[in-house]
Amino acid sequence: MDLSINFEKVDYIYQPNTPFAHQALNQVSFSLPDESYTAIIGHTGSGKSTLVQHLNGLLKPTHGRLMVQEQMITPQTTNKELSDLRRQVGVVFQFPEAQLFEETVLRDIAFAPKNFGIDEEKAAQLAKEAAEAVRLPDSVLDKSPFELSGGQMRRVAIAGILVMKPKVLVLDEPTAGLDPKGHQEIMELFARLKSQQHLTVILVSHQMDDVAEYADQVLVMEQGKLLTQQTPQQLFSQVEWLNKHHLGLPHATKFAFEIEKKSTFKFSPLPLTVSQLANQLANFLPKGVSQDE
Amino acid sequence: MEKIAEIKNLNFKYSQQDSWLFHDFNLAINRYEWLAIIGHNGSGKSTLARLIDGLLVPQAGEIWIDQQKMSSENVWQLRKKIGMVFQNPENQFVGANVADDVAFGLENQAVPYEKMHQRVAAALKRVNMWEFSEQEPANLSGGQKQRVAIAGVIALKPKIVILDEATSMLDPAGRYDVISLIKELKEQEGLTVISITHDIDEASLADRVVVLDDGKILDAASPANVFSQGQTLTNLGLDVPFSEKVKLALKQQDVLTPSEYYTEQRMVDWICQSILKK
Ligand SMILES: Nc1ncnc2c1ncn2[C@@H]1O[C@H](COP(=O)(O)OP(=O)(O)OP(=O)(O)O)[C@@H](O)[C@H]1O
Ligand SMILES: Nc1ncnc2c1ncn2[C@@H]1O[C@H](COP(=O)(O)OP(=O)(O)OP(=O)(O)O)[C@@H](O)[C@H]1O
Ligand SMILES: [Mg+2]
Ligand SMILES: [Mg+2]
Repeated sequence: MDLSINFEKVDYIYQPNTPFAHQALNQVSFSLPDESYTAIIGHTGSGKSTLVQHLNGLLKPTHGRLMVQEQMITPQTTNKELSDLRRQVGVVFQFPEAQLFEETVLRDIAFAPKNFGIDEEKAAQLAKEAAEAVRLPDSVLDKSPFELSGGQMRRVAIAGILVMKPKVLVLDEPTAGLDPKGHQEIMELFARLKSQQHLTVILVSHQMDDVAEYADQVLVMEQGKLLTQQTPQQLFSQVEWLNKHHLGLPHATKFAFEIEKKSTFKFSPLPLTVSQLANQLANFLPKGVSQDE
Repeated sequence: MEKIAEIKNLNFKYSQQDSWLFHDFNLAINRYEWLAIIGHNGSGKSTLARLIDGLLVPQAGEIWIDQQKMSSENVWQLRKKIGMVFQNPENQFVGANVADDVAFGLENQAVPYEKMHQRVAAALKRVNMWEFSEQEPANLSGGQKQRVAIAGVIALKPKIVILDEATSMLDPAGRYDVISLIKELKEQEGLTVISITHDIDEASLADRVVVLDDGKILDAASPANVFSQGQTLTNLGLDVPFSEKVKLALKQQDVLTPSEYYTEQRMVDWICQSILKK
């Protein structure tokens, strides 16, 4: 299995040698295979955004090194050396506004392809397709990206990254601000792109339901340190450990625990999603078509 | 019931828009109420919040806050009664450091220095951000920014708190803490809370839920009432309660499920009893 990403003892210190010096990453080491889907979870301030900003070299390690798509990044790496990598790694930031700057929505989304040398007309075409993929209404394409609702801005920021067709897709709480339908559609879109275009996906999320549904492994951060790297199934089975670290459970798992508490029913394995929950219960419940249909 | 805010026959559109976003819009909010507003992206939730806070001026209609009709003369006065946490906390920061930022609103209200200092410290401690008081707001993590924005509002001790997706970037434990804090303040200090959220669990805590769709109120009722209408919510692109999701998944496996709306607790009970019977 080829490695897409490898961190070796990465430290990151904000504002070093000042009274505000803050070590946001502390000896972080892990590796992720090509075409994996990894969720990063952890409390506010645990270092998730700092970690993912290393993946396209926006931040460079204070100590240690990392490899992304065969590009080594060390404290000495220059931005010039990273221009190739930045085409391959698309990062959707936690605050979408930070990413918007053009005069119109369409031009904002077309920025990356134009920047990569694609002609204006073709870039606009690609931008339109990306806008459609994230379900932006046509009516907003010629508006300023700053005159949109929060969820619409989020969609523009996502489209602006997808249009790059990156090999590694880094998503920092990409669905914050999206309505429930948009949330589901966009998460499905990422999953679809991953399997069609063979992407490696890294998702920072506080939504354990998404972690359970989409990720094949989870990194847990706490105060700058990587606590553990596990599959969702392993992680969410350790209820006491999760409680101790004040981490949440998927809704379906909580629901399953309630059933176990109030009956003799035992789930195996522990369900993480609604469909897994229903699959295990269905044979023990009365069948038939309800009266109301 | 006494109204703390009232919107009457309001028309509003942004200058770039060709048609009304709100047309002949009416909404009354009771004193001490917890009102949740839900609706799809672009339905007008944040615009409504900015209208209530006097940041946008309607083309027609009236907005009443605490028994006074809003006008260009009293808007600054009325805004002091309202504390708003913006959807993007970065749009909210004005101070050079976290403590200054929280103090800024109080300075505006001419709170004496000693008292101001106390209130800033108390508010930052309530949201667990006191240790960051000297930090520049720009240098905080996403969730830390949201906590500081919330501290800024609770320090003001407003009569109305508007939370525009104010917990969207908090971890599950942090979100629970903040919501509990707001609930506690609501009881202790008699707040009225307007909470705009996509989170169904958060909306379920409200006394009343307003469903907004392209500037129109489709429904305004208790959470139990609104959230029992699964299909309507799904059609609007909104979330349904977890119990309804379980029901749907079971139905797809030909399980004979109850036709009326069950809360999550009741659904657990129903499943446990049905397993026994079979
Ligand atoms: N520019 C900066 N200068 C100094 N400290 C910073 C800076 N940016 C972040 N920090 C600090 O580094 C720590 C990690 O921040 P980071 O943004 O990586 O957290 P996070 O895990 O993404 O949190 P959240 O879930 O709230 O987004 C935090 O304590 C934060 O205050
Ligand atoms: N500053 C602005 N100028 C022009 N149009 C705007 C502006 N802000 C919002 N709009 C438009 O007004 C409509 C309502 O936007 P609003 O921000 O109120 O939606 P919202 O319900 O808060 O959505 P979201 O859930 O995405 O935050 C949208 O169609 C949006 O594009
Ligand atoms: Mg972050
Ligand atoms: Mg909004």
